[in-house]
Amino acid sequence: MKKSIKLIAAVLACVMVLGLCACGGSQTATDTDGEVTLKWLTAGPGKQKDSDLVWATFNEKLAEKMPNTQVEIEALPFADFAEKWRLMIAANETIDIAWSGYAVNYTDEVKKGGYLELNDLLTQYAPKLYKSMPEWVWDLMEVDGKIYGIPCYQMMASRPAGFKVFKEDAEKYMDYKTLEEELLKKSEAGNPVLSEKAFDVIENYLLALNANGVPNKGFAPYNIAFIGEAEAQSDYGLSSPVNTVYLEYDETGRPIAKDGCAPDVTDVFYKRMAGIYQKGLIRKDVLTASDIRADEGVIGGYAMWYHAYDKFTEQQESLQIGKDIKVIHGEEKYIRPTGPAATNNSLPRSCSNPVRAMQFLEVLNDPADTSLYNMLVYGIEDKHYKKVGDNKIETLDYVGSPTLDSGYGIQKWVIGDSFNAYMTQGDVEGYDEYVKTDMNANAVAGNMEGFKFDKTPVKTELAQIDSVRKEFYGLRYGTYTDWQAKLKEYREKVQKCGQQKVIAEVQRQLDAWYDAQNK
Amino acid sequence: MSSLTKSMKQSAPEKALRAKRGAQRKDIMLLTCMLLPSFIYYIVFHYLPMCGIVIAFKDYTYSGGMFGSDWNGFKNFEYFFTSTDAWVITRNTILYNLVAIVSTVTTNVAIALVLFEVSSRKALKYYQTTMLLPNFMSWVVVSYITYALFDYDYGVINHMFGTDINFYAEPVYWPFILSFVNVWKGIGMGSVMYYAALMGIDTELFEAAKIDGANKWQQIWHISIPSLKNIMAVLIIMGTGNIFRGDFGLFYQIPMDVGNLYSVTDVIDTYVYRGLSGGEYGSTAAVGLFQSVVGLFTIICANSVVKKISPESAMF
Amino acid sequence: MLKNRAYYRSQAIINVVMVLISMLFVLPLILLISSSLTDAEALKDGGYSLIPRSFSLAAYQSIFSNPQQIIDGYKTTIFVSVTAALAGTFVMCLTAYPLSRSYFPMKKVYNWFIFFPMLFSGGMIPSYIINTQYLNLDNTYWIYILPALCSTWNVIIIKTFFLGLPNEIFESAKIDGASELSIFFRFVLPLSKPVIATMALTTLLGKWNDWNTALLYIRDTELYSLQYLLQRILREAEFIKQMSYNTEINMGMIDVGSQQAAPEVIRYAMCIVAAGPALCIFPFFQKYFAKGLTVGSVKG
Repeated sequence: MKKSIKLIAAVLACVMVLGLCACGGSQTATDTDGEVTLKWLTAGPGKQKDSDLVWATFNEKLAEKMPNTQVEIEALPFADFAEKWRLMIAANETIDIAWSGYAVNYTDEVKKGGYLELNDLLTQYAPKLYKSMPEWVWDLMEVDGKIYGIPCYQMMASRPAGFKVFKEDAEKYMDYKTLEEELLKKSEAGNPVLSEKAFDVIENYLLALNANGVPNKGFAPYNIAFIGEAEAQSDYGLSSPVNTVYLEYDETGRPIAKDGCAPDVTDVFYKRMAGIYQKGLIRKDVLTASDIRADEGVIGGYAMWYHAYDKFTEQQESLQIGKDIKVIHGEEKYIRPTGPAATNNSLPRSCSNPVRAMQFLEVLNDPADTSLYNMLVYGIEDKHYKKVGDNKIETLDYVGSPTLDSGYGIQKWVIGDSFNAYMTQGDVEGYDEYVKTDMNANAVAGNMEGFKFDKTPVKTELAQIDSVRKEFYGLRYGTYTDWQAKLKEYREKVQKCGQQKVIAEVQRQLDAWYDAQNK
Repeated sequence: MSSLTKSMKQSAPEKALRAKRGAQRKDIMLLTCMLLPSFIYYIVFHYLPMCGIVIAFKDYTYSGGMFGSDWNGFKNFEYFFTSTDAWVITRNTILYNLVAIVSTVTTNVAIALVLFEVSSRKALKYYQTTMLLPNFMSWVVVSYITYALFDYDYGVINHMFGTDINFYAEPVYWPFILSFVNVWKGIGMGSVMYYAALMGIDTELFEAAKIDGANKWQQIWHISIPSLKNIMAVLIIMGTGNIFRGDFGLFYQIPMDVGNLYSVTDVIDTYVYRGLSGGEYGSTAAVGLFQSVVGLFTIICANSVVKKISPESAMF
Repeated sequence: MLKNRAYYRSQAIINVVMVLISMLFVLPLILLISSSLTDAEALKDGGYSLIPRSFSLAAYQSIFSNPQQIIDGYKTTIFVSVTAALAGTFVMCLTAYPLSRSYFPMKKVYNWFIFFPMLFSGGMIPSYIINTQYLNLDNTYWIYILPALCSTWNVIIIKTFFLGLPNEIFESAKIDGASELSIFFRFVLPLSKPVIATMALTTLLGKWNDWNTALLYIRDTELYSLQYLLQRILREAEFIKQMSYNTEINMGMIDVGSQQAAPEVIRYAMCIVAAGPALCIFPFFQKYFAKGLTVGSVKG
């Protein structure tokens, strides 16, 4: 008996040691000039019927431009991307290029050592790519002063937001001029909450619609935080993951961190939302509905929804929806965001040939010859799309966004510079030009540009606060009848999770940044 | 007895003893060899990967990997233990598990006993097949069904009974709903297992009891249930090992992650999932380790309790 | 058997009770089937009912528009489930048997050996590394079967059952000079048919429903399991719902285009397709649940 215990213990010990040695392993980078196959982990709808065919054709064409280079693509569905990516990189699997967009937390992955520094590689091997985007776009990708991702160029600036309504109904029943004034006042004052006057206009409009038998699904519940809670008001560098702090500026322009969960700041919002819910002006299944946006922008759907807009919106969306819409807006301003771009490609730490990878990306995004890029996005001519003009095509299997069932298609903003893409029947003429030369070019620096909040000192508190926020979503939709009691409970809970500690830390980092800026 | 016959007599039992020991050794070798496949399996797929437990005590980075990353002591445990809700979630987890252990064992046994009495094979096939249906439904699919039942506007319950209850806004209903759904999902396989055990009872026992004049209830009480005793004990003990774990699918999908209901539907696993958006390996590993250690403790306790009541049913 | 009135009455009561209970299981299934056969728009507006409000095969047409994928899914899932059920159950019985013999000296140690991993696990990362880098199991059928071959929970149940077998069998077999292996194959296994059938069924169902393995380890579309094909659709929908809480994406502040969740009808239809044949599986197992397998019959 003792012998068998000793035997088993010895075996286990050997096994553990084996495991120790085995689970290590590192990757050595090789910079050869010979044959290289790059592995690209990209996102999208996932592998489709004709994916292999398209990628084989792609490699043939690529060989014409870059002999000795082939690309092996693995396309993961968005929902699976984060989980698979993390495991693959933890196992140090060789991945030469990886999509690093919004499904993964870019800053976190950088901090964990997931991506390679790109500064030198960019200037040396991808100068055209580097010049294709303004400097402030590259600044978005900086963590601790170094760039770790290549944005897929598209609309980069944040657009202003406003209420979208159906033109006919609004002109009949809504006092939209007042609403516009109130929205303007709100953005100028930097108020987190919409005024009571504005809420009155909204309520009266919705009630009028119901009274006059206009079919509608009420007030759209998403994006509601933007008119009532402190989170989205805080100039982005801060907003996620710190959702309960907003900023005010003192006379010298120094930012002050304020408690978004303090009493009285957002009381009006919760009060009015509770009223709206009780009057039946917002859908009753708001908390459980599986697809809240399904009723957006459809005839008979939401009566009004709060969303971003630009010069093309009324024209574009009226066409899409089939009924004229009108945008009721506040300030017109394009602001540069401060968080990382929503869609980018990076070179993971397990990249076997960073030089070749960078050269490849330079070739792929070359505006002089966009055929390679467009093949990855749209597929093969006549099989997946029809050419109807110089830079215009008509996609055959889908309209708008490709799906798993399409023969082939990957979103243009996943592969690379989306301004290189062919126009499809879903795109409006002139829109891309406008985005590139008007919006992106005219975007102004936000008040907090350059500031990146490092959440590590308070990450536990932030995670807990986030959990509490999710628990009380009913407040923002007004589903509680006893909203005052619940509001009190919510605020107390948030405080208990360390809200003051978070505010203090935010202030500390703000002060350090501000002082460094204004030395 | 002469010394000659004595020695002859001795060598026979001695020979027999030696032969017996030889056979015994051969048997033990055979038995040990039978364990070989599972031994390799456990080493490769369970013990080798166990080295990953160290992540619970490390500040995990990709560059460091499991063994190169820095140690950070018990810092990863902070997320869970310093949370204001730690007590509520733990309480939820434990209570649900206790209720689940009792409810699933009793219903599974009861159904198995009833099925045992069904004489028509066709009917039996039908019942068992239908009860196995939930096994083919993932929790997401079950959540569609519960949604169809409990939805405020279109739900079957509100429609059929004319009630006006907003189930997804009222926490009070959910302990019952979740416990019931849990029983519902497991009753197919659960009862089949007890049924199989009942199948193994020697029918002669039942014949003898009938001859002795025992009625159905006495037969159940004196024959059927004691034969299930050991399996019940083992399942209860193993159930307590999971007392700090919540079935993620059940507690996340069925309440549709509605924040209102967290106070009664949140368990350790869902809380961790929500707060740690997947990338936080250290904290997740820490909570997992905590659940494992507590589970070990409760199993040993449960086992000793069972040992006192009915020693042969205990697991260890 | 005396079939008197008492017998018929008790059978009637039992059957009525069981039919009512089985309704709890059949009705949801009918609900699912009916929802999968409903026109998408009608489903959104009218909600659910047991009979489709407006009949439509569109969802199924859409799923079977790529029949190769579904066929591959069935092929993979069936092969993997059956192999795992057979191999796994066999290994588990092999393991449970020595542990049930009181005279086996390593019994206690091995009990702990298999029990410990039930509670303690190293997590996804080391398993993934071992499975992909050292065993090269990824993207094969074996990744479905091997890592979950032996379940301690099941081994313990089988062992408990073996312990309940009457001792006379073993004693008389030993006297006849039978080796452990022959006792195992000639007596223990035949007498344990119900339990073995149950364990095989559990294993098979477990594998049938497994989608996580395909998610993490499979790249070739021919090797996707049926449930993964279903889950892909469901997960994408869930992901979109989660993203709707991410305000920056939501506001289209940053144009990441639109992602459409698959309509609900498709999800229901996919459930039915993925469950399909497995629903008919139990009758196949039922023949192992035969009453009256007595010790005597085996001895003879």
